[in-house]
Formats: sequence, structure tokens, C-alpha cells
Amino acid sequence: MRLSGHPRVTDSHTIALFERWSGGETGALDDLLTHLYRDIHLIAVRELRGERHLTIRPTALVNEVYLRLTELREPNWRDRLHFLAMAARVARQVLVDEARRRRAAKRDGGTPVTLSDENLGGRDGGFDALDVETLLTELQGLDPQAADIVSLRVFGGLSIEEAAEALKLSVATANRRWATGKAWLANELLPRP
Amino acid sequence: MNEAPDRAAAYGIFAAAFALTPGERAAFIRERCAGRPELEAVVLRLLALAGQDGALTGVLSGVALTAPPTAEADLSGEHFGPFRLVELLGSGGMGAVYRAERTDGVAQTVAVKILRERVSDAKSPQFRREASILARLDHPSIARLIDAGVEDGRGWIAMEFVRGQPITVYCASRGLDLAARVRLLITVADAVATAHRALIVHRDIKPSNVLVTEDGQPKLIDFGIASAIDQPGGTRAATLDVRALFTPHYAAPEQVRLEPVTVATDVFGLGALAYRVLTGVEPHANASTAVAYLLAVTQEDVDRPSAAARGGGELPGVARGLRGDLDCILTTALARDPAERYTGAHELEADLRAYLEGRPVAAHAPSVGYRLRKFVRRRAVPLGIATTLLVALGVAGVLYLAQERRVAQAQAAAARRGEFLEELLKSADPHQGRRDITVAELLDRAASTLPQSLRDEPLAEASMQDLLVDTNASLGRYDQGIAASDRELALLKAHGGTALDVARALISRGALLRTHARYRESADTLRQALKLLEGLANVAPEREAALHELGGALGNLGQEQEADTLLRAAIALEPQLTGKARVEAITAENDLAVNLGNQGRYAESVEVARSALADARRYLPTDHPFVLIGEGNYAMALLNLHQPAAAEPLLRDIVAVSSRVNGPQARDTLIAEIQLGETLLDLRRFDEAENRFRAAATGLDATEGPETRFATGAWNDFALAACGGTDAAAGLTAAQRNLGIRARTLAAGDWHLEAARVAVAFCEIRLGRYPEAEALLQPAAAALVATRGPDFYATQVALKALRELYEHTGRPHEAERVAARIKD
Repeated sequence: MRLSGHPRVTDSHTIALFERWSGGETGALDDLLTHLYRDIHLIAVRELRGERHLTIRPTALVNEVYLRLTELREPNWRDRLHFLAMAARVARQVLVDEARRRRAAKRDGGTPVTLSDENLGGRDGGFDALDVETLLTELQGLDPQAADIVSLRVFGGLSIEEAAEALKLSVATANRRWATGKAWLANELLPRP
Repeated sequence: MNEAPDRAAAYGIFAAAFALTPGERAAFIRERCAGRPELEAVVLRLLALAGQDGALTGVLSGVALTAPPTAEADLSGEHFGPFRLVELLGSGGMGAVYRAERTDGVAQTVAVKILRERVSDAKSPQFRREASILARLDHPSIARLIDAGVEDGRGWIAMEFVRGQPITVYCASRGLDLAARVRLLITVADAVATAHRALIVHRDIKPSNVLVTEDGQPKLIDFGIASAIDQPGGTRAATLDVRALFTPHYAAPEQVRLEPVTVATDVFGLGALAYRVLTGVEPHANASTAVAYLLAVTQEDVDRPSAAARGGGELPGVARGLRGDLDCILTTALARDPAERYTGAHELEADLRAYLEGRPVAAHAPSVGYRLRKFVRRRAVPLGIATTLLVALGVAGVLYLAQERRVAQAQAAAARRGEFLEELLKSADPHQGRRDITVAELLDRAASTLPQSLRDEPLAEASMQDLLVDTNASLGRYDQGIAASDRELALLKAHGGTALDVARALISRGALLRTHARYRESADTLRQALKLLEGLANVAPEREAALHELGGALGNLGQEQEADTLLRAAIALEPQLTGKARVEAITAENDLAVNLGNQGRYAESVEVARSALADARRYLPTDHPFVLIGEGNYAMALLNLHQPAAAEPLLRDIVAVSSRVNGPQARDTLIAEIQLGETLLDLRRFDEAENRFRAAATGLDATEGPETRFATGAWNDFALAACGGTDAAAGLTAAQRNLGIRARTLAAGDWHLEAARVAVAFCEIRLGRYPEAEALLQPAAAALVATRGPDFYATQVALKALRELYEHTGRPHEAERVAARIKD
């Protein structure tokens, strides 16, 4: 697998931000995210503009972020959850922005792109990241814990246990919130019977 | 309609209800939704969805952002190269796979993969070159790449069509026991090791890429395809779908980290495959998502196989069998650090074999090996670079990354080889120096620098010299090959090389001498090798190689009865051989067929040729060189039985296929040309025969050398065709030159020498120089009748020439007497 043309996080600014954040300076995280966002977004955009039949999964973007961060330092278990939570945010942001751009492009006659999932039983297309984002924002108002868990699991690929630990919830609570949040999304996104 | 408050209310009621026990929910909802049936319906639906495990499982694994699926057209019926797509078999990450049929006359079913990614015009030649390297990958357990091309930007790859089940399904459905499963894995590891020696890495070993046929032969599919598509220097960035980057549960940590892929990556893949096949569960089975796998494989060691099998193995009681050696073997193969794994698939194979045979396995003793292996890894050339370079140089399969044969010095030798190869490659790296360096220069440089750079490690140098013998031989550089062989043997003798090392060195040398027509030296060398092998156990492959080379050499020397005995002894070893050694043993059968033919024992020859051909067809795809050789021999046997009309179309076919597969100037192609020429000679189509012989002889002069057996044979045939036709002067010149060469290089009684005399005599008859012809022809014909019998084809040529001589010189009775012995 040759991955030439792959932007790498090696600039000193990123490293400095990372060090500050790992040193306990929580404010540095937002700067770091902004910084990472640019890289990740570049990759997503470049891929989506290609003419190939392609699929971008949020977990893949998380993977990218994660890989970039592991280049800086060997992560320990606790860092990892932070990484993933953070990366989930970045991935979510990238996908939503991209969906916005695509919708605009579609109005201008560009290629329509939809957020869908092949595991949803053959449902072809129908909703995109912006739809999910709208629902998650709404859920944030109704049940913030459920929204956080859905976001971590959907965009970050975290397991229930990992999400529970990242959010400092018991696994039982996390399970319940995940079930209700998931049902909320499913009710809106799946076709009605 | 105020919808928003309803949604919030619905979620609130639903979440509260969900926190209750199922028994309490109905009453709670009825009470909270009293008089609002729409609200109640939404709450109930939410509740139903929450209880439904499968709801939004897709969301769990991540929501995908996809372009609308561009329906992939079924291309059945379309043509790609010489193939017509018949039926869509399936669609994978890289493209769709079809069953396809050849349309150029040779019946053949293949699997054709149409790549999804387009191949640009600029990349097209590189794609073809990469494919041609893969096509040389030759192992009965690797589905062969048959052909590849680009049409309208669509890359297509034709592969051997394999009917089989994924190895996991095969093992489960047959209820194979532990030992049977290990045996299958050994064959797979042997195949991967063969590919590694050609610097080709698979990168995606997993159960769905290892099919097992009905008769139990495992076949690796898609070998190196990923590399062929992933073109060096291309701009192809990571497709961000993690599934496209790696296969969870089988990908190595370095793949997940996007680091360079080496042979160690395939060792991990083999380890993961073995883990799944033996324990019934995948490594890191708990990692249910790609990201979870990414973390697990980079940060955690795999569970001990014996512990993993206890959970859900398909083999009752297998945990006990795995404990100990197999635990060690699998965890070594699956080490997170590539440097801690086996250095290559061959080592993993050796340990699996040792386990089966109850010998100690190497995985137990990491102390010294570890350090050395680490050194190798550090020094090993990333395969990507190496293959790229070999592509640039236009050769492949001639340099071996780590083909160590020794037990004691294996690690050190491997380390040295890795370093040496790296040095070599560096010196040829276009980024560091000239671009026009040739392999020949590379080899010359190696020969001159080796003794100096390895002066403290004579056995490592010997191992490198062995590499040079093979490489030079495969490039037709005999003198350089002999020089490397001299040096190798001297080093082994001076520094205590093992008897097996010396025997192997002698076999390589014997084979090289034989190709160089130095048959007597070849036979002496091979006899020494056989003697050394006498006291050793587990040397069936070496014994077979020595026996069949010696048999061949004695055949060339005209000692055909002894040759028969040796070749039959080689053939008798076949049941003990596996993998590549078994396939190479087909050569012994082919040689025996030729040898019997040369003795005029045509009926037996046809039988052996037919059996060799059947073996070749059983183990190999239809356009494999061995199959073509088998077909050629069969055609010659037909010719010997006076059926030239049957042999001709077969041979034309072989020439065409060999020209495509081996190249128009390849030795096998030129030999097939000679065989076709001899058929045409029998059909008295002298002009075409003459042209074929001239082309083949000129080609063999250039590639094999003018004094070699095939080159002289081609010139002899040329002389007969030219003089039989209208070009007797040119024929005579060639025949006389040829006689000179043969008189100098062959023993006095060799029938090839008599055949050369017959050719000269025949040309002199055609030029009316009867006395000269008669002086040469009468003793030659008598010798041939005495030593070869009257039916031998060279004898028949002599008798025909003699009849013509008597007719031209007014001796009808003598002509008649000779004619009685001629079979037309």
C-alpha cells in the first residue's frame, strides 16, 4: 500500500499544541482540532472530488486522525479515548461540511452525494450527514448523554464500554442512552412501515 | 400542527418508558399519551426500534458518505484481450470477477478481473510490466496470472480459474483434524515463500483468498494483484474507507499504520490465517469494528491460540494440541513488531513441518535469532522498492531476498543477503545514480565486491555466490555462473560448509555445465553430489534434482541406458515431493520421454510423454511452460511414429502460445520452432522448414551459445532443409561448420556426430559431389544402424541419403537394398 501524497502532521505548531493539550491545558484542544480539521478535510475533499466510485466512512477519518496523532507519540489507554472522542468530532464536522457543500453543488447541477449505509437493508441513499447532524443537534437538546453516545459510536467507532468511559457513565446507563438515541435516529431516518 | 413539541414529548415519554421494566411500560405509556393516539404511535415505534438489535446496526459501524452507486454494468459477452467474459462471478474491493473463455483457439476457462480503478495511458506500460512479473510466479498452489492488459483505460487481469472453497469452509465441511489442517497451511506457506523469493508479496492473505480444490490442493488467489494496481510513484492516496486499507483480523500492524509492507507482512497474514484455521476464531476476535481492530492489533498481543480455541473452536479438544509448539509458532508469526516475526514464510513453513514431524521448532529459541532477525529486518529492502527497481530493470525472480538454506548459518546469511541486496539495489537506484545500469553490470559488480565486503563471513559469501550462480545461469551468463560456482565451492570447502550445502552447490553447477553442453564435467559433478547425498536424510528434492540432471547429461552423452535408469529413479521419488519440487520432477519424465525417443523406442516414449503431459496438466495451468514442453514432446513422439500431419497443428499452437507466454526468443519457443521445422521437413515443406530452422538457430546461437546442444541441432536441421530444398550451398556451409563444432565437443561414438556427418554428406550429394559424400556417408550410416537401430530417425535420414547416392551413381540394386529399410 503506497500512500504517497499523504499530508502528515509533523509541523512544530501541531506538536506544540499536542504537548500543551496532553499537559492538561484543555483550551489547546480546540486549536488542535482546528488544525487537524484542515488536514482531514483536505483528504475528504480530495477523495470526494475524485471521479471514482468511493466511500468515506467517518471511522476512516477517525482512523486518519488517530494515525496522525500516534505519529506524535505512543498513546496510552486514557489518551486514546480522548483521541477518539476528539477525532469523532473532527470527522463529524468534516462530513457535515462536505454534505453542505455537496447539497450546494447539487443545486448547481453537481454530483448528488448522500449519506447512507449499506447495512440498512438495501435502502438506497435518502439521507446525508447534514440530516444526521440536524437530528443529533435536536437530540442534544432532548437528551445530551444520548446524543454524545450516538456521536461517539457513529462517528468515532467507539464501543459501548469505551464511550461510557469517555463520558464517565456507567456501562448500563451508556447502553440505555445508546438504545434510546439510536431509536430516535432510526425512527427519523428509516422509511416508515 | 405543532410537530416539534410532539417530537420532544414523544422522546421524553419513550426514554422514561424504556427505563422501566417491560411489564410496566404499557400502562405508563397509556397514561402519558391519553387522548393522543399519534403520540402513542410514535412512542411505541421508538420502543420497538430500541428493542430491535438490528435497527441501525449500520449506524453502529459508521455512517458512510457515498457517491450514489453507479450501477456496475454486467460486462458478460464483452471481449478483453483474447478472452470473452461469460458470467459475472462476484464483485470485490478491486473490481468485478468474471468467468471467461479464450477465443483464440485454445480452449481455456479463466477468471478475469476487471479493475474498478482506471489505468491511465501513462501507467499502462508499468501495469503490463508488473503483470508480466506476476505471470512468472510459478507454484501449484498459486493461481497463475495468465495475461493482463488495458483496454480503454480499463485494466483487466486473467487468472487461473479455481474451483474451490475458502480454506475455512473446506476444513469445517470435511471435519479435518489438526494435522490435516497444518498440512494445508504448510502448502500455503510454501507457495508464499516461493513468491517472496521472486520479491512478490501478497499483502492480503485471508481465508477468502485461499481456496481449496475438490482434490485438496490449496490455491492462493489474487497474488500480488494489489501491488500491480497500486502503482509505484502514482498519486493514489489512501482511499479513506478503512476496509479498503486493510482486512480486519488479518492485516498486520504495519499495514494498519500505513507503513511499508514487506515479507513480514505476509508472515503475519499467514499467522492470522493459521490462527483462524486451527482455533476456529480470528485473531483479536473481540475487536468488532475496524477502529477497534486498528487499536487491538497495534497495541495488544493476540490471545494464545490454545486459550482462544477453548472458547469456540470447531475442533473438539484442539486446545490441548495447540498448547506448546503451535502456540509458540503462531504467536511468533503474529508478533506486533515485524522484526520479532519469522524472517520469511519459509521459516514459518519449516516450523510447521517440524511440529508435524515432532522435531524441535525454532520459535522456542528467540535469544540469538531475535537479535539477528532484528538485524535482517532493519536491513531488509522494502519489497516495494525492490520490485519497482526490478520492474525498471526488466527482470524479476532472479534476485532472491532471503533464500537461505543453511540451518546453523541461516540467520547470519540472511542478514548478509539482506544487506548485500540492499547495497546492490542502492547502487542501481535511479534516484542515486545512473538510470541505465543493467542487471549484468549489477552482477559483475556483485562478483567483484562480494569477497571484500564479506571477508569475515565466508559461509555467508558462499550463500551469496550461490545466488549469483543461479542468477547468472538464468540470464545465460555461463562463464560468470561457473566463476561464481568455483568460488562458492572453494569457500564451502575451506570453511566447513555442510555436506548438504556442498551437494546443492554441485547440483547447481552440474545443471549449469549441462546447459553449457559440457556434459562430461556435468555428469562428474552430479555424481559427486549424489555421493554426498547418500548419507543424508530428508533430501528427496535434492536427490531427485541430481538424478534427473545426471540422467539428462548421460542422455546427452549417448549413454542412454544408464540415463534411463537414473531418470526412472528420479521419477520414483515423486511421491516424496511436494510443491515446487514435485512440479520440477515433471522434467525427469519429459527427459525420459526424449531419451527413449532418442533410442528409437518410440512406443515407450509416447507413453512416458503422455504421462508427463498428464502430470503437467494436473498441476499446472494450460499455458505453463512445462505443459508446453510436454505437448511438444508428445508432438515429437507422434512425428517419430510417422504422423507429421497430426503433430503439425499441435506444434503451431505451441509455438504461438510459448511465444506469448515465454517470449519469441525464449529457449522453449525456439525449441518448439525446431520441432515444428522437423515436422515440416517430414512433410517435405523445405522452404518453411529452412526459415524456421534458421530463425531458431540464430536465436539459440545468441541466447545459448553456438556450441550448445540445441543450437547445433538447429543448424544440422537447417542444413538438411536447405539441401533438401533449393539452397544446397548455404546448407553445406552450415553443415560443415556444425560438424566442426560437434567433432570438437562430442565424444567419438556420439550419434550426434554421425548425424552431422550425414548432413554434410546429404548436401554434397545435392551438389553432385558423390565421392566425398560416399566417403562420409557409408561409415556414418553403418554406425547409426549399429548403435541406434535402423528405425531411428537420424538413421532413416542417413538411409534416404544413401539411397539417393546409389540412384545418382547408377547402382540400382544397392539403392533397392537400402530402400527396403526405409519407412515412409
